Amino acid sequence: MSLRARWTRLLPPAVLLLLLLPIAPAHAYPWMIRHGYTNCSACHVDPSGWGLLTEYGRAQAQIVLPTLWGKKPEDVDPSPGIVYGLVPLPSWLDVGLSLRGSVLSVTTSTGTTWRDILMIADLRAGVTAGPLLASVSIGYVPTGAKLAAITNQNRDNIVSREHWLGVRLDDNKLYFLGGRMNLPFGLRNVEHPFFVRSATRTDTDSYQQYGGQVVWDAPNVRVAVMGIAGNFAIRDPAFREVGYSGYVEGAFSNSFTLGLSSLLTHADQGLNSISNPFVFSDPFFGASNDLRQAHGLFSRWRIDDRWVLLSEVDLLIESASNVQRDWGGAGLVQADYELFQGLHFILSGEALHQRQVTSYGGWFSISWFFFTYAEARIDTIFTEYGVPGGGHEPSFSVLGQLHFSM
Amino acid sequence: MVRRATLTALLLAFPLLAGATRLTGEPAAGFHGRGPGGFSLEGKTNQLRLEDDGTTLKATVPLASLTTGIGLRDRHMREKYLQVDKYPDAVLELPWSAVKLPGNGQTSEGTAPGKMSLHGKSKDVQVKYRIVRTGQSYQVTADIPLNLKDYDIDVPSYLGVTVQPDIDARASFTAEHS
Repeated sequence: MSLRARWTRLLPPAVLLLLLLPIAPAHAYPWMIRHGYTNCSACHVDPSGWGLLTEYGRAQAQIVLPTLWGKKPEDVDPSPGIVYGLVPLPSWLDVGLSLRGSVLSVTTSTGTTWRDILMIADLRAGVTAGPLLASVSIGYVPTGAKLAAITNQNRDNIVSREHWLGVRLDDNKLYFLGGRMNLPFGLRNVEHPFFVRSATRTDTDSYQQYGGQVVWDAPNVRVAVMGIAGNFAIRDPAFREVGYSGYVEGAFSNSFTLGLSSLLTHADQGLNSISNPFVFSDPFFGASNDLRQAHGLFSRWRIDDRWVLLSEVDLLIESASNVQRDWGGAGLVQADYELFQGLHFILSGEALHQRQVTSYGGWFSISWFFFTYAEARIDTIFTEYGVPGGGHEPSFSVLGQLHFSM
Repeated sequence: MVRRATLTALLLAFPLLAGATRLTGEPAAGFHGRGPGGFSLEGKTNQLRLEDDGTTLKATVPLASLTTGIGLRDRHMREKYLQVDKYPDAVLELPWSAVKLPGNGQTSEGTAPGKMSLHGKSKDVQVKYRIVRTGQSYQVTADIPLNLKDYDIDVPSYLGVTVQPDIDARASFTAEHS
């Protein structure tokens, strides 16, 4: 069987699996703008946010994230080490562990399925020593995240979502990074099945790429541009994408930011970019000279102490030899309401137009950081997937998660 | 000609503010600090008092009311750095003679020398101000660059994040003179 035929056969279930795979391989909370943080580099080793926390970030995770059960935030004495302070760390070394398990129910017109999923079991380590910094993660996944796998099994793979080295200069404003990294594009949110993440292939689950990145991280503006050399976890070089991805985001106050993202990649043969499991045949899959573009706007807005509004809209363009150019778009609006410290009610609305069909959906989520480093979350997701030729297929999912990250 | 007109406006306006000046509406005061990379923080309070002896306008901010949005950081700021139990207020004194007051319906901007008292130290500062006048109502915004070291305040540093000693203090209020 040819590679293309094999991929084509596996495509629909693989895409469905990808979409139904869990939320959030790690933590990345754009709503931290609620606390006046418009930049990410104080708390995360990656200056664009996500994943491994710095010493300062671990302290914030103990002070401002969880429910404190009667304790005042000013009375919290954060442990500088890990494992609730049991393991001390030197200030130049950062170590993190993330475990996330879930139960997922999906109801479609054909019935209801239940699955339990180990979504993430990652160990992370990083160095922030003067101008030098580095970050590496290693983990295990029973299913999914193939694009981050360093082993090549059908299941039970070892994954390394990121491993990079870098230097930071000019009082930590200017970064040069190289290795496997998250793509700088749009909101770096945890919900990787969102259309804006999956259709642009910029989620933090497994869409990292190898390359070099320059970051300018100043109080009023963040800029990151990455030259993409390809995802070397893809064995066949023809399917690797090269190009660029980047954003520029201005902070107009410590309550409001507006950013512009852009991505352009070329692959000798196209990979699947469809975020709709009911579009079974992607004309760009395997097509030669696949050119994929995404350009968009994103914004973070702290309305008041309780409400944060996040939004993103992206234009999607894809072309390839002998395939009609596809124009589409993806959009997301998310409102996060923190009733009391640690308890978040999250409403999300999203839409996608891709391959001439339109899908839309809504999420209602409750996320409770009920204890330091511990989160329980439930998502109810209703999506109307567009079907080629007309009509929609509804899908209703309920996802319960337990997440420990320290 | 212009100088004479300005002088006339000043002479006309000065007596209007030389007596009692009282706040109307809610004032705002605070500071903007920067750290490494993109780190920044804002301190805010709505407490500000004005005193006017006819020659000098004195603005007092009770520092215990400053908040930055994170409780532990506020506690460190008040107890470890500003030491508000010993030095409860920040006081800016600005002589009226250094301020260019606008005519009715007009706006004036400029930089005036003042004196800032903070953490038991007093230093001369340059106050960048903007005043919008509507009738007897004066809407004032003042920006004052400060260096914490000038006031013997330890440079705040917490778990690898060190705030730069240069900060921008700001006050804005609306006042009426009767």
